[in-house]
Amino acid sequence: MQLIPSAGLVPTSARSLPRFKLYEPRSIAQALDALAAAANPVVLAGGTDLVARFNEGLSPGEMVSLAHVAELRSIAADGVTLRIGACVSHDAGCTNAIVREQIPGFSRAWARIANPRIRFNATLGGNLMALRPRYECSLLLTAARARLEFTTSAGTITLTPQDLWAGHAPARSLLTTITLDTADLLWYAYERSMRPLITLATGLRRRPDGLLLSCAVATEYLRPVLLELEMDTTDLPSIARNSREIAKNVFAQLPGTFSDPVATRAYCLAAGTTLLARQLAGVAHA
Amino acid sequence: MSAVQPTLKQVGVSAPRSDAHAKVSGRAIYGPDITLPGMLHAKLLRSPRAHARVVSIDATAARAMPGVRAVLTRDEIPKNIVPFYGYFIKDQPMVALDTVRYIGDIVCAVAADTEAAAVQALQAIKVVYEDLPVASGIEAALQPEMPALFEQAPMGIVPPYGQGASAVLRPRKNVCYEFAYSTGSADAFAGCDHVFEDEFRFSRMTHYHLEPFVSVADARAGQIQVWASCQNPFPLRKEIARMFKRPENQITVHVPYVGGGFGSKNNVKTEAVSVMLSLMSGRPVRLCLTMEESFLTNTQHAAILRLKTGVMNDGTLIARESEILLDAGAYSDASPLVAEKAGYRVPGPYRWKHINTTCACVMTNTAPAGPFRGFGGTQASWASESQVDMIARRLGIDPYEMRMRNLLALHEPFMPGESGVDSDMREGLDLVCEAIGYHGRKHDNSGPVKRGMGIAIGFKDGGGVNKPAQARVKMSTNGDVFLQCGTVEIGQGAHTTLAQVVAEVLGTRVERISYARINTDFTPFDQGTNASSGVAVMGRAVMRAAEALRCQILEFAAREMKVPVAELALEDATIVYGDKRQPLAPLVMRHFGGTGYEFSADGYYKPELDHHAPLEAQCVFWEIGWGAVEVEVDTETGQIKVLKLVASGDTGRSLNPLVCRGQEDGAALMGLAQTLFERMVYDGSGRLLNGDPLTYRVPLAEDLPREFSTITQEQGHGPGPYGSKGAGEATILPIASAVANAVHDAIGVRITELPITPVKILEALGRA
Amino acid sequence: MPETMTAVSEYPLEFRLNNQPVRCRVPVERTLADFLHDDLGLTGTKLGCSRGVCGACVTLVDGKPVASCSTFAFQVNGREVLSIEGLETDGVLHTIQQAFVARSAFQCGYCTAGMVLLTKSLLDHHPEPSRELIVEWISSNVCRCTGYALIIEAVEEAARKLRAERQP
Repeated sequence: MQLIPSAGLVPTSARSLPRFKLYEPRSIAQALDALAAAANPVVLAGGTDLVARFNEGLSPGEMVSLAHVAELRSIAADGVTLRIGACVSHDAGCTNAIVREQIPGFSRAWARIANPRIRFNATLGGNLMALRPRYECSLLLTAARARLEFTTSAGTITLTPQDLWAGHAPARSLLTTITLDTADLLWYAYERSMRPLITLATGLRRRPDGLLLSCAVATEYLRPVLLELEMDTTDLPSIARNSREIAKNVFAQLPGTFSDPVATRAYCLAAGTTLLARQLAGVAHA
Repeated sequence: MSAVQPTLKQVGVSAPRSDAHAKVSGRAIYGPDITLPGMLHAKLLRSPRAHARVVSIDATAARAMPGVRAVLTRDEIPKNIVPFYGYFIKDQPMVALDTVRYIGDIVCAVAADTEAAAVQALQAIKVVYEDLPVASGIEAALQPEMPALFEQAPMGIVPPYGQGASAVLRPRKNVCYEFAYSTGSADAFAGCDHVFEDEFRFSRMTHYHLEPFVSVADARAGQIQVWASCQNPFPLRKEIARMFKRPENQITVHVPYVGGGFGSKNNVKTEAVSVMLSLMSGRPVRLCLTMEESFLTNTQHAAILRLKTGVMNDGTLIARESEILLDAGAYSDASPLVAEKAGYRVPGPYRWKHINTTCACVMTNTAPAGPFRGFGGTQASWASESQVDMIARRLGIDPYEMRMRNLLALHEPFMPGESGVDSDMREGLDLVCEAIGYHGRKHDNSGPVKRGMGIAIGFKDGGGVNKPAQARVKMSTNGDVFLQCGTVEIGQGAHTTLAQVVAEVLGTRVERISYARINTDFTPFDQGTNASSGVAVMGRAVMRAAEALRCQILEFAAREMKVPVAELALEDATIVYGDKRQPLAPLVMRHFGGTGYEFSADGYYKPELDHHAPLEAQCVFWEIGWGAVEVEVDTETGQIKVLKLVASGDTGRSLNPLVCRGQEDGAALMGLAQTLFERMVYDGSGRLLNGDPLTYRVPLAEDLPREFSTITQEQGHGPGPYGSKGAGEATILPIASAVANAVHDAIGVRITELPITPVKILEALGRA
Repeated sequence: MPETMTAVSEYPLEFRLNNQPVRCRVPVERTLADFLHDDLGLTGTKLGCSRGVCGACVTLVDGKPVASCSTFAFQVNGREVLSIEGLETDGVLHTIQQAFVARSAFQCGYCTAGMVLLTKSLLDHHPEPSRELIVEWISSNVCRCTGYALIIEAVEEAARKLRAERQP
C-alpha cells in the first residue's frame, strides 16, 4: 500500500500504474545515458522486487531495462578477485564453474537462498538494491567483504553493502559489478536454518599475521551488521576447539540497538553466539 | 463401531473430484475472472490512522479526473440507505462516517474506467484526520483511561439461548458482547484438592486465502446482481436487501468457485461498496482487493484465556471457571458468534461437575476479527489442552492417564441438555499415541538438544447453529442428474462429496451428477458454508432430496409398469424389477411425449429447536481433532523442530477419503504454522508490521515436519449420510497445545503464549 | 558508435505462447499476468499476492517458472511461454495434470495452475527428483489449503508416469 499523508492508504499495484516509457540500452554507457535523460527512472534487472515497489507506491516515469546489457551478466576471475556482474541471476551465479571454484562456500550459500523460482529470475544486484532485510544477498556479501561498484557518468564508485544501506549509492548510478577477494578466502559458511528469525554468514580470510573472521548477522527486520575479529592464529583445529570463546568475542560487538519486534538483542546475542560457535566448530573439516 | 453398512459404491470412494478437471486445466472461473461489458473498477481509500475523527473529506479533484465515474464518501450515501452491516451487531459502515477505527478502515471509494484512474483519483482526495486514543489490544482497550470506542450503541441483538447459556450486549466499556455459560454450582471448588489458575495467550493469524476478496455488482435496471467470492450467499443477499432497502427477489447473488475462505468470506465484505458504486454510476462495478487489503479486512481472534480449574489428587477434573477475552478488532463482525463458541468449548472433551465461563468481545483499533477455521475452538483448545497437561504434571500424573480418566464417553452429553459426543475419544487418543510411540518413549536428553512428546485433543461442536439447509435434486429424461444446493465449493470438496451422496442414493455414477452454479434465484436456501457443516447438515438435506427423487421416479415407474413400487430398484437411470431392466427414458417419453420430463424433489434439514440445549438446539455433531507431536528443542538456540506430527479426525464415515485427508493435512499444517511462527505482528500503536505477502510468513512445503501424517478415523457415529460428519476444522485444534506439551516434556518449561518461538524458549530457560 | 536510443511506451511483442505465435503491441507497463488474463482472456493464470511471493501466477518462460505478476509482457519477447491452458493436448490433460487429479492434490484450486506448471518445469529439469528436491521446488509456491503432502505425492506420481511414458 502507498501512504499519502493527505489522503490515506492507497492500494497501488502494477495494474494501476500510470503509463511509463521503456529504454532498452545495449551497454552500460547507454544505460547511464538513459538514466540521465529520464525524469523519474527505475531500473529493471530481474524485476522480481519491482512489483512490490509498485505496491508500495513507486510510479516511475521511465524504466531502464538492463536485459540487453551483456556486460552486466559477465563473471570473471583472475585468481585474486572475482567480478560478478550485477545482473547475474542467482541460478547462473551459483552454478557458474568459476564461482564454484573460486569461492566454493559462498557458492553453496548462494545456491540456498530464496527458492528455485526466485533463483532463476532474480539477480544479485537486484537483491542488493532492493534493500530489504528479508533478502539474503546483503548478508552473504557483507560476510564476504564484497565491494559494490557503481558506475556513474563521472566514473566508478566503490561501496560496501553497509554503505548501500546507509543510502550512499549515487543518484542515477548503476550497480555494475560485485567484486570479491578470493585468494585469501579460506572458508565461508551460511547458517539459515533459523531464518527469518536470525541468519548469519561467516568468512575466514588469511591475513599476514593470522586470520580475519567476518561474521554478518541479520534478522527479518534488521539489516546485516558486520562483526569482525582478528585472530593471530591460522590453526583451524584450534579455532574449532575454541569456537565458543571466539564466538563470544565476536558477538560482544553486537550493537546495543540490534533488536527487533520479534528477536530481542539478548536473544540474538545468545543464539548468534551459539550458531557462530557451531559453524566454527566445523571449520577444520572444510 | 456401528453396524457394517450395505455395500456402498459411490460413497467411501476417492472419486476424482468433480471440480478437478476445471481446476487443473485453468478453466475454473473465480470472482476475479468475472467481467461484464462496461464494467468499472473500484478502489478503496483506507485510513492511515488507528483511531481518528474524520474531520473533512474533499473529493472535488478526484471527481473531476478523467475516467472517474463515481466517488463514494459519507456525503454520497443516500438517506434511505442503511450504511451499516454486521452479524449480531450492525456496527460497520460501508465507508467511514465520523470515525476511522483501525489502520485500513475504509474511508471512501472510487469507481473508474481503469484501476489506474481509480487509484489516481484516490491519491487526489484530501482527508483531514484528528487522532483519538488508540486501543492497541485487549488490555489497552480495557484500561480505565481508554475512552469508549463506540459511544453510541450500534443496532444489535442477542439471540435466544437455552439452558445455562446467556449473553449481553455492551456489558461494559469497550466490550461489545459477552457470552456466558454455566452449569453446576461454584461450591464444587470447595471440594477440590487443588485449584490451579493459569493464563494463556492466543495469537492472531489472517486467513491468507490466495483468491482476494472480490465482487462484481451490477445494479442497473432496478435489479441488483452481485458476483461474490462468498461463503454464504443467502445472508449476503439479506444484508444487501436490508442495507439498500430492496426486496430480496430483486437481488441475485452468484457465487463462482471460491479460492479459499477459511471463514473470512462471509456476509458483506466488498459487496456494499460495489453495489453502492454501481447504483451511483449506473454501470457494473468490480471491487477486487489486494492481498495487503485482505490482511486489513478480516482476521482470526487473538485471545487471553484465564482458566481456574479445580481438580482432585487423582486427576479427576471437577470445576472450571474461565474468563476469555477475545480481541474483536475495530468492528464486531462475527465476534459475538465466536464468543459463544470459544466460551462454550473451553471445557474441552471432559466431564465436569461445574462450569462457569464468560467470553467477552473486546473492541480494539485493529483489523476486525471474524470467523476463522476453528472458530473459538482453536483458542479454547490451546488453553484447555495446555492446562490439562500442566495440571497432570503438577500432580505427577501421566498426561495420557489424566485425559483418559476424564474424557467423556461415546454418546455422553457434552453438557446438560446437549447432544452426546459422537466419537469414542479414547479410541482416537490411543490411535495417535500408538502412531507416535508415546507410551514408553525414551529420549536421551543429556545434551543441549532435547526431545519430547506431547498429545492433545482439540474439541468443538460442529454443524453450526440455526442452519437450515435445503437442497433439490433433479433427473432429466436421459438420467442426467442436477444437484442444486447452496453449499459453496471453497476447496473443501463439498461439490464432489454431496454429488457422491446423490449418486449413491440414485444408484448412478458420480460423473452423472452436475452441481448447479449457485444463484440465489434458483438455488435452494442455505445459511452458509461454515462450521464444517457441508456433510452433516447440507448432506442430510441432499440425501433427503435424493431419496425423495428416487421415490418419485420409482412411483412413476411403478405406475407405468403397473407393478408394486416396493419391488423396484433404481440403477443408473434404469428401473430394476427382478431380473428385468427397464430403462427410464422410454417410460418417460411414452408418458410425457417427445419433450420428456424432469423429475425434481426437495430435501430439508435443520436440527429441532430445543430450549433445554444451551445453544437452543443440540449440536449436530462433535468435531474432534487428536494430535500427537514429537519435538526436538535446541536449548542453546531455542530452535524447535517438529520431528513427527500425527493428527487425526473422525469423519464418522469418509464420503471421499482423499478429500478428507486433504482437509486434515491442510488444517494440521495451518495449526502448526500458528504454533511456531505465523502471526500478525501489531505494534503498540495499532500498526500492522507484517501486513504484506513477503513479511507475513505462511507455511511452505519445507515447513512440513520430517514425519507428517494425518489419520482419518471412521468410527461411524456421525449423523450425516452413511454415518458421516464434518472434517474441515478438526486437526487445526490440537496442534498448538500438543507442541507446547511436547516442549514441556522435552525441556521442562511451559510456554503459554503463541507462537512458541526460539526467543520464548530461551527466555523461559533464562538464557536470553 | 552510440546509437540513438528512444524510450517507447508501446512494445512490438512477438513470442510463442502455448506453441502458437503471438504478435501484438503491448503497453510497456503491462505485466505478463494481466496480458494473459485480461488481454488474451486466458483466465487460468491467477493473481494471488501480486508480489511474486505466492506463485499462483507462475507461467513458464523458456521452460523456467516465472511469477507472471512480476514480469512485464515485453520481457517475453522472442521467448517460449507456456500458460496452464497450453499444457493439455487436444483436450487431453497432461500427465502432470492427471496426477494432480488422481491424488486430489488441490482444494480451492487457486494455486493449482502455478503448482502444475512449476511441476512441469521441475520434471523437465530433473526427471527423477528426490523428495528433497521436490520439497525445495514446491516451496517456491504457496498453497493454503492442502498442507502440500498430496501435492508432493502428485509430483512423485507424475515423475513415475512420465518416466514410464519415456520408456519404449
